[in-house]
Amino acid sequence: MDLQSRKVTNEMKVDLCSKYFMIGFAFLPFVWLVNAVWFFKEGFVKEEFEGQQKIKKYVILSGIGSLIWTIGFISWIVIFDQNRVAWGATADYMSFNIA
Amino acid sequence: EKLKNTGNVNGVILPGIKEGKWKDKIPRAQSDDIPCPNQDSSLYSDLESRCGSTQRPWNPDGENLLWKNWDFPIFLINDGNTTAKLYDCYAEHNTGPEATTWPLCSVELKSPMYAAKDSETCYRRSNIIVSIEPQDYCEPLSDYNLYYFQTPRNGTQPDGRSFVQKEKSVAVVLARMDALNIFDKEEVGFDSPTTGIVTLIATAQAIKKALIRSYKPDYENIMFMLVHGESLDYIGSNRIVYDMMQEDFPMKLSKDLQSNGILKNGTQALFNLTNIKYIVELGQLANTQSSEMYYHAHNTNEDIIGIINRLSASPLDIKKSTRTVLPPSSSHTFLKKMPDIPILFISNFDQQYSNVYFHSIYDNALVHNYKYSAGENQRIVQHLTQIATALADALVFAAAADTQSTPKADPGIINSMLECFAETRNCSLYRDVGRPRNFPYVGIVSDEPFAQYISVHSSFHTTMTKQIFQYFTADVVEQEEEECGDVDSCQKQCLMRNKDQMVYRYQFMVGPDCHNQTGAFCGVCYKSTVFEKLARSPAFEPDVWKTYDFTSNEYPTWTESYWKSISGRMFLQPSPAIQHTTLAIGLTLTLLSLPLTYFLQKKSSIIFEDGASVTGAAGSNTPAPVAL
Repeated sequence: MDLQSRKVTNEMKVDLCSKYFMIGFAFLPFVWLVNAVWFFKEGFVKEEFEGQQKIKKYVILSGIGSLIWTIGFISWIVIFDQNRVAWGATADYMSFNIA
Repeated sequence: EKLKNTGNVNGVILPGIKEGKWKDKIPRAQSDDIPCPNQDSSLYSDLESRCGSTQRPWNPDGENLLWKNWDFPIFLINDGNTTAKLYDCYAEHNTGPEATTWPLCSVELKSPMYAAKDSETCYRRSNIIVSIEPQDYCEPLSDYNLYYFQTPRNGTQPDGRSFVQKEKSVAVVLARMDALNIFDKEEVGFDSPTTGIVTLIATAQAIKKALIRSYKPDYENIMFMLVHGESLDYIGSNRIVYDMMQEDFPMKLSKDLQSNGILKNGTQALFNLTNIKYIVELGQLANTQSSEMYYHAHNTNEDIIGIINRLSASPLDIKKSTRTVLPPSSSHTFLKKMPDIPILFISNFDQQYSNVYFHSIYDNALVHNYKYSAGENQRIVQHLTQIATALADALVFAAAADTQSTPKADPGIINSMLECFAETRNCSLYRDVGRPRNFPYVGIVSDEPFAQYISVHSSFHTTMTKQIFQYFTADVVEQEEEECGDVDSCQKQCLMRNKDQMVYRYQFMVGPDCHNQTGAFCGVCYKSTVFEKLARSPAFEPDVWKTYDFTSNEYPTWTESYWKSISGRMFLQPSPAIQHTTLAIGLTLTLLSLPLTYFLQKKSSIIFEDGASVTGAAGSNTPAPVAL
């Protein structure tokens, strides 16, 4: 959907942004990231319009959410990578594809 | 070792000595094993006893190539043409006044292995069910042990009662069946194990020919065993002892009774460690250096003394060893579970191996001066005949009350067996003992002997050894009046006799009169008491391995990694300058193309005049998001 087109009203934009935000709670951090990036221009660069506050809120929250997930993923990856060999059997049972 | 530590070595190629530039360039001594073979599974707990003595260990030439971690490939190339080409390429391109600063002539060696860390880990990983395509990383070493009872052991006596073997009533003769070195499919050992196998079978045949009619009161039978995988911490003997202790030798009688007699036509009575009277083990027996033989006795009792005396009285030159500890031998496994079994270990060495090529690719017929064409009267054949005769005589003297004749070993069969085990698989004995629809009448028959490595599945070496053993100790089944038909139906009828019984093993082999140049045209049914039993470490039994402590050293836990095909290739490498240039050009092109593409797109309306209108306003570059 081209947000620049005149056919897309502001209400639709707000609705879309909030929908994406809700969907992201289903363990979908990438949806949050997409939400944040896509609506960033709408929320912070364009001039004031009705509902822009909401978009701003959703963009910020989505951004924070995906950031937390990213930090979580990176931490787990680093820990597992360092300790996989030391954990022996437990690590093997956690792995899906060894070697 | 030193080369490895420099970290500069990426791979090693060893040229073979069978042909080509390095033909017959055999080192004075070389052994891939450690100075104290199988030291971790020894009966003794102190290093001094495990080694014989740390100053003068059993295997002084042991370089320990087998048990070290090599992180580069080591290839053996036997083909003379290839090794010549390798050397010529090096001589031409890598040395001399025009030599380049980089290795112009290079070789790539590929030897991919799947397993990692240790047996416990890779075996566990192989057994984790995670997807519909399970991945195996390693397999436990496994083959078959062979055992032969001089007298058939029918589980039910003629009067209907079941037969129970008396305690300490069976004399056991034992030898190992496998060889080991670092090169796959090159594991053929002349002194170890071939001389032992050949002598054991010849002894069994000699005793069979002597025809024991009855035993002395405290003897009920004589058992011969060929155990596999002994080079790797006694895999075969560990399994045999385990089976005996689980009441699974020769078969699980309890299971049979439960399922209401699968073997209704005949079972064998159980046999376990308590039935063993003593063990005579045959070690390395070749007389390459000298014909002196030695015996190492353990738990000596009057039975052992009797055998020793009888052996000493024979023409065999045999002396008592000056060592007080038992050399590495399969008997260790039996003693660990039953420490009072009397053992007599016969070998060609006293304090240190006389075989300087123990567990090496150089332990071959050439080095031990054996050639089939030299006939029965050559030194080694006569020597082994002498040992077999003396041993057969001593056993018969001790065990038998009444025989038809005195046992004498046959040098002809010893020579035939040595040809097949040590010289070539294209030998007349394999043609006699082969089955009509199997080797050597089916498939390619090359000139190398079969590898004697335990491997992870049954091997030709084991199968042919079993057939040879059966051939020399079996009775021919006389045909009834009507002919059995053609080869296939004769074979089927013969093998049908194996159904539902475990007292005899019927084998259909071609025999000496049934083959000619074109192949096998008939066969003979042999009735034998030679059986095989799985030789895989008890640690990998389904109900053992999950809770087994792999660090406990109770059972051997050797596995072999899965591997993809092994290959190598030789090529001329371009100079580093060329490689760097190629990389630089590539990078430049990539970096140039990015701004170029950007500009092309930006000015696309100017460059491409007709028609093609970009979506959105002219000059707009924003990519359209995906429509919902």
